[in-house]
Amino acid sequence: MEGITDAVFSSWNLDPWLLIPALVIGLLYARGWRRQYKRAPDRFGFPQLVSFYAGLTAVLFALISPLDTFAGWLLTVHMIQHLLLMMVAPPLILYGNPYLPILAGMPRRFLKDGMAPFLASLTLRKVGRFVTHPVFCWTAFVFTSIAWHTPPMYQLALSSPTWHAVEHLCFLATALLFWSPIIQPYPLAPQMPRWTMIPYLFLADFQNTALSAFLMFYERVLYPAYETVPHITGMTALEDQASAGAIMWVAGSIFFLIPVGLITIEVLSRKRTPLLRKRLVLPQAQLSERTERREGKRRRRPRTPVDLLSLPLIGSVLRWPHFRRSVQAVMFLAAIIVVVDGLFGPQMGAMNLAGVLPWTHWRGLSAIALLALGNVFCMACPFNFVRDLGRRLLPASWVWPRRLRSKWIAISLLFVFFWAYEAFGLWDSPRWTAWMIVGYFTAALIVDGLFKGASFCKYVCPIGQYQFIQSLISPVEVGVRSLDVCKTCKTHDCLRGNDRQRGCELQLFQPQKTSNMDCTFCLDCVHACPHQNVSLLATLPGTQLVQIKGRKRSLRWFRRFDGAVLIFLLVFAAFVNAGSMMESVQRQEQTLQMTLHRGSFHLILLVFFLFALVVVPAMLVAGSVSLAKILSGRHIRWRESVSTFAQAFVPLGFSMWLAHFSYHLVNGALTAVPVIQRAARSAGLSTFGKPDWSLSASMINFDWLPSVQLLVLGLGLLLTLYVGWRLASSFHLKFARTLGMAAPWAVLALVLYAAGVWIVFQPMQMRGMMMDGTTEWCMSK
Amino acid sequence: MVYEQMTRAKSKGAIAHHLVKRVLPLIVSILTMGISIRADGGSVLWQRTMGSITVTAFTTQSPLRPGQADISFLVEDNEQSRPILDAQVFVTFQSETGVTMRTEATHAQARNKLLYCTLIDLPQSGHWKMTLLVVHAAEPMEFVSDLAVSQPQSPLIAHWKLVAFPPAIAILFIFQQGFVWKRNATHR
Repeated sequence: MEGITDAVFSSWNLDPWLLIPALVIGLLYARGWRRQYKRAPDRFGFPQLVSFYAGLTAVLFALISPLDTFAGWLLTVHMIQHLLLMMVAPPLILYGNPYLPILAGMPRRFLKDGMAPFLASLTLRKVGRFVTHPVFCWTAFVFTSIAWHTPPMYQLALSSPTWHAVEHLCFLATALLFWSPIIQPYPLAPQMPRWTMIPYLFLADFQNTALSAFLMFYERVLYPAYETVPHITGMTALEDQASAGAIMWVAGSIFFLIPVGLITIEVLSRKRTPLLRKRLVLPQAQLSERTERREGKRRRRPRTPVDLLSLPLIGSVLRWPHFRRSVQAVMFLAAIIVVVDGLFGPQMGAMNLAGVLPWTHWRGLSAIALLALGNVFCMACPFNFVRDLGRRLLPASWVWPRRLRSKWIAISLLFVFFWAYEAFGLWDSPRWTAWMIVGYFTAALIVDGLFKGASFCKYVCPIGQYQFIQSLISPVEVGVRSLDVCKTCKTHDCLRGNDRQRGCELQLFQPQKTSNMDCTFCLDCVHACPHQNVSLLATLPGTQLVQIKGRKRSLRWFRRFDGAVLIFLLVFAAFVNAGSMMESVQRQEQTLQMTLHRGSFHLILLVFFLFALVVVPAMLVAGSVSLAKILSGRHIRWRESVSTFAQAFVPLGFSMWLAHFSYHLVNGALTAVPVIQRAARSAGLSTFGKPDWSLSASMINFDWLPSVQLLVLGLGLLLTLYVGWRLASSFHLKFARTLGMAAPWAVLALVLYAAGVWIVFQPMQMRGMMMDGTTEWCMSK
Repeated sequence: MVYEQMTRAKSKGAIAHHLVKRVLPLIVSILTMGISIRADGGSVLWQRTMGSITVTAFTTQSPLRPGQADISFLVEDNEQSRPILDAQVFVTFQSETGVTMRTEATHAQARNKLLYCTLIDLPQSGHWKMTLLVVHAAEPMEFVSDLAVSQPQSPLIAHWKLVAFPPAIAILFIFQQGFVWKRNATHR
């Protein structure tokens, strides 16, 4: 029997969906209570603190203890759980005066920008006043109590965990409302005379008595679910029902009648001092002293952003002058190995380094790095080696032509790449991949060997443009620690360089730089600055896109049309690239390949890509511009409109890239192992062992992956909508007109989001993996 | 040098603040995520008696669908009318197409520690045969039952919460901004 008791008492339900909200509420209350205690210790004293946490503990105990585990087996236990949620926890929580401490415990910015508009709204205040009116509170409590005890509703709650949670939520919420007029938590004002609380409680007790008597004396089992479950206590279902009714009757009545007694004494007493709530008046002197203290505290120092270069270990590594060169050397070596294996190794993507490392691992990892750190790929770019070699071998004295100082070359190259990737199946063609890398090296050598600065990176490199755009939502940027230091600087070493260190090759002047656009994270400016004022600073993802103030200068590049086209190309390419992996699309492609000869197939694919990446986006964007103009009633030049709102789509595009690449990375993470083993054996190294090709075909069912992909897409959409709204707000129109301006772009974002969701749910081709030998389909979804 | 030290000290404060504010909640949520992979009893699938033992099978999902299923068993001693906690419970699932999976149901995987639970990944829908082998006091007893696994849910329905949350937040945000606009207009 001891073992059974132990088993019962160890049956806890540590559900994070309960624990995390409770933890958050508890932390917010503690944080806010500390502040409120300093201001009004009589109102927010230790009794309130203890009472609030006792109430919160009661809620948690009801929901995570063995009470919840055995509520489905015993009605008596279920009744105790409900009493805790309706009678014990709510009065305790309300006695803790929770509203102000929880609000004060929220982050200041969230409270000011997020909550304050709701709290200040007159409409919502009226709704709040209505909801907290004793008549509504009583009706809601009684109705909920009766409704959930009817057999169909109770059975529903017992059969479905979701409905069970809804039932508990209803009980807790209406009980909090019910007890509000009785406890009167600050700052809720009473809406009815105090004496009315006596009939209020009596009537509630009458309902409770009627319901519990019905449970006790009814001669049949009211809830059939309790008949089918095992009766571990030896009680029959009917005895259990009677016992539950008795508990509800006795305990329930006690909880109603004690406050009735207290309120009666309070009403009849001469002083009319509330027994349940003390009237609190602070002395005037104490109040003024606190006000002064509070106002003094309001003048806060600006918060210093997190500086990565100051971190103990990472900072030292990043500041090391040869760090970047070392990483580049490793990447360069890896690129050479990939090229050699691509040219001379087996010509099957899943068996070759050129088919696995660049397309499965590098793409996925660089996308994750963009989200976690920033433009890490450009920092470790292997092409820099040949760029520097080109500068030594060739004159590097020409100036990049003014006409070509735009993103159009890179845009064209990106378009060609997206088309070639599908047309030539680059992911499954190691030789083409190797030649592409060789071509890249050659272009970098020639361009930077002939022209000054980093012309290749800024105007030609398609990978660089992709990284620049996506790094706009990265949490790290190269920036100045203090603008005051820059104001006193006369040498501008970060731009011009000095004897020790070259300046920014991409002509980015640090004090004016406000985003990661065109920044290769080379850290030349960091090393060049004599004041050590340039660093890697943490920033909130997305803030670089919504810096409305100083827009004319800081976001100058956004006003350029080529920048907007680049963004839209990358956004639509994210969806087209992921969509081309779908089984249905692949079948169409295969049918086309079989019916047409190669040249015609490539041509048709080219037409498709022109349609998908140029015509459709142009039509959708043009439609959005026109609609925005009509709905907002503001005449904005279409180029300005496109250039402004394009940046809003960066998060959505990135989220689709991330969802797509993470799919390959998660499914094909182990594919590198046998390929490296094979390449090592080909090179005469047997230390890595025999290739284990089963790792290349592993079909672990990652159930959680679609959820993560949807979450990523959802967050991308939200950030896009937010940035779009902020950009529309910057035109200073009325609310309806601002909404009209943002709405067409929001609809476009929602259409893309829906397309992304649909793609995530489709069966996908497992590129870079060996499925059933050569057939590479994953029908797991 | 002094400047560097000062900025470093400031940054360390900011890092600590950042850690407490952002990283700690993340770690807590990740740690607690693991706890949720625990089974519950749920609704009764069947109840069988053999000799002195009664077994009740439960599942939290009704109907069962392909994917992870949570099936639990209560083993009771009829003579003493109490649950048996020291038995060994082995479960074999066999599909119509011949897919066979074997697993052991344990208390460790159950939230209700009176139950023996197994979390099994059912790969396909259709009729499955579930064979339960209960070994208690060195005496094995076998219970065979049918298990109907329904067609998988549409992915959109299965993930409706994740799909719907961004538009819901966006609508809430529009309302919030409406209030901001109204308040600002009143203040002006």
